[in-house]
Amino acid sequence: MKYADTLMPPEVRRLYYHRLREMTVEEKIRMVSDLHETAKALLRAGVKLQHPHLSDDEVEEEVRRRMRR
Amino acid sequence: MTQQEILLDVARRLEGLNIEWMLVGSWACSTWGRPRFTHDVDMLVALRAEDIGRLVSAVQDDYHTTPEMLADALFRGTPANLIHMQAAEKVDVWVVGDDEYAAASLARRRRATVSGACVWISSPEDAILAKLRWLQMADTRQHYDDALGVATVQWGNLDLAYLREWADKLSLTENLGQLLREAEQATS
Repeated sequence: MKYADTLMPPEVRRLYYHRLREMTVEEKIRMVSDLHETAKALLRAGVKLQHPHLSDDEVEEEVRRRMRR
Repeated sequence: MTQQEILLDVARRLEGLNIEWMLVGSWACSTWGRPRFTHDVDMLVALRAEDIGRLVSAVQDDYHTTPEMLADALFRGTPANLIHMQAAEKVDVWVVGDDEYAAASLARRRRATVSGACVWISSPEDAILAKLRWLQMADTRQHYDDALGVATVQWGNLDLAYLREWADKLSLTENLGQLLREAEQATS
C-alpha cells in the first residue's frame, strides 16, 4: 500500500510535518482527548437519529456500548 | 470527565504513590507523530507486588479495578483496567514485570507538564519499537501506521543506533528497516 503522505505535494508535506513537530505535548494530548469527545458526540447524535424514542440515559448507555465494540 | 482529565487524574495518583509510569501505545504515538482518535489510555507502570494494595486504595473511590487483575498484569503480562465509574472511560495498565525491553524503555521516558500535572511519555524511539512489537503479535495496519507516523514526524531526530540495537534484540530488524525506508521516502 502506498503511504498516503507521499501523495501530498512535497512542500505541503514538509509544512505538515513541521507543524506536527512544533505542537507541544499539551496541545497533542488535548487534541487526542478532543477527538475522543467529538467521536462520542457524533455517535450520540447518530444514536438519537436512529432511536428517537430513547431517553438520555439510554442513549448514553448505547454510546458506551458502541464505543466498547 | 474527558480522557485528558482522566489521564491527568491517574497520573497524579501514580505520582503520589511514587510509582514510575509513562504513556505508551497510541497516546505516545499521537504525542510524537500524528494525533488520532483512540478508545483507551495505555500506561506502562513499574508496579511491584507490594504496590498493588496501595494502588487499589488510591484509585478505588473513582475507578474500578481489582488486586487480582493487577497481579495478573504483573505476573502474566495481561493489561489491568482502571475504569472510571462515572465517565466509563478506561485506562489500560501494562506492567514492566520482568520484561527487559519494557524496563529499558521506561528508563528513557520523557517528562512533560500538562495543565500543571507531570506527564511521562514513552520516547519516540520506544513508541516506534512498541508498535512494531504489537505488529509482530497482531498484524494490523494501525500499528504500522502509528509507528510510521512517529518515524516521519520525528525523522532526523531519532536515535537510530538505539532503534537498531533493540530491533535486533526483539527480532524486529526487517520491520524496522521497511519502516525507516518508508519514513525517509515520505520526508524526502
